[in-house]
Amino acid sequence: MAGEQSGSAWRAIRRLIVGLILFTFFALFILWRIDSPRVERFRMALVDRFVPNMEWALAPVTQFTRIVSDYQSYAQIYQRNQELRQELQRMKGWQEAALQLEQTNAQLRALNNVQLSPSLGFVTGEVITDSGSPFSQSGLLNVGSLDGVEDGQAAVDGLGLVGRISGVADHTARLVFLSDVSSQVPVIIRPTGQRAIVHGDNTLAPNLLFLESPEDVLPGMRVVTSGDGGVFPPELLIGQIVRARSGEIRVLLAADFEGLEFVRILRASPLDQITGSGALVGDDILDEVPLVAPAPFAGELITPPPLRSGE
Amino acid sequence: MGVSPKIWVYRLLFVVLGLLAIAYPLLPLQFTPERWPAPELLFALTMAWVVRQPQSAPFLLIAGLAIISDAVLMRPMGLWALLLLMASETVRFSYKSIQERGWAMELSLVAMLLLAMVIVQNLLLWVSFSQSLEVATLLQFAMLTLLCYPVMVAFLHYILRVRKPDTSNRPDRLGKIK
Repeated sequence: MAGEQSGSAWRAIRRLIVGLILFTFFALFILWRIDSPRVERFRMALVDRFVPNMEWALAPVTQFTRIVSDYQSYAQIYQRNQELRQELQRMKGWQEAALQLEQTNAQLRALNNVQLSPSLGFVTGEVITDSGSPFSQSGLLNVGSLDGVEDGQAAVDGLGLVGRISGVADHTARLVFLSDVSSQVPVIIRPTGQRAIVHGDNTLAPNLLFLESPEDVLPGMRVVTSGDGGVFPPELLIGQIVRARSGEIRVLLAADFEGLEFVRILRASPLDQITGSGALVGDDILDEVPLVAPAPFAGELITPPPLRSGE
Repeated sequence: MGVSPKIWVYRLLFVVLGLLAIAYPLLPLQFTPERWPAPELLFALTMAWVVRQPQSAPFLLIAGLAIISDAVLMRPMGLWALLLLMASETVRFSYKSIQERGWAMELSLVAMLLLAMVIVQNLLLWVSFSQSLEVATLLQFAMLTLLCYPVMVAFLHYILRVRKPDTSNRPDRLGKIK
């Protein structure tokens, strides 16, 4: 090692660097608080760099744990079989009903010449990591902006809505689950048509906020997205109403979070919004039409606009 | 503390272990909200390592790992990294006396540091009007992390042989025998 002199110089420099790093971290935290989108983009860039590289290390462990838990489920295979059979029986009934309904529907549609909303395009991604922190309920997908994923798009599994995309990098995107505390989704309760907001609270049965008349909401009613706010397409299934033991009304999510592996990200841009309130009808005509007396042939076609007071 | 090639092996080992500690809560095993928060293995690793061999866990590596873990684990950027680096520097400052005073002292010091970090973290989150965590979750988190600490120490000591320099029967540099 070098002499005493350079040792103390190094110690001073070191202290300076440590101080600088600490300051940078603190500034980063403040910046995160003030200008969150920019820091989140930085975060996504870091994640995009590191997580796909870690995947090869994570994969064996994940597979092994899944195999073990699959093996455990063999123990209950008989019971599972019975349950599945019963379920199949019920499903057959539903299938019949669905077929009949589909036929009726087709007939009615042919009669009506209904204009349907354009069907949704989607891209399927795999959930590669868990968020692993008490701060958020989210997962990382292996598809990103190169696959056409954008912020705010809805993700569904086979059955229901899982969450929304929040944070996109080139090859990865973060999916914030409905159970996250920052997740708030405007919904409609079928069949009553009441509107409310599903607010995540770190459980699989999120809260319902802003419910107008809770006494009309019964367990078992279906909850679907309303499309208000223009983030989600309307009519995506979220779940069923359940009543907690304390009497609270909650929504049991339909998506299967236990076995979440692949999700579909719906690429449809939400329907056009009607922006602005209606204007006065006829007001613009007043501006366009010259106030001088129109040519006689035109005057017969256009009814003269009412004159403004004072003119 | 002469710089030997061996120290680079240990530094590499520290980085690899640190990355694993960051990666393990990311394993896509369970997407349901968990009842227990994951313990912070990076904290346990850093503290245990800095107490034993501070020269093979330089602060730059700790800072890098900490900021990566903040980014990847969706925590507020920079906050836990700031606290972790401060705690590790505190331990590094007095690692010799911690080594001498033994195991119980070390554990209680680490516990105190962890509690202080958790409290300051929540305080800063609260002051900055971000979403602060529930006290129960924080206590669970601190408890689990502390429970991991002895395991981490044993792992470092017996398996990786990251140990305190054996000072009991060797003269130190000035020729004194303790």
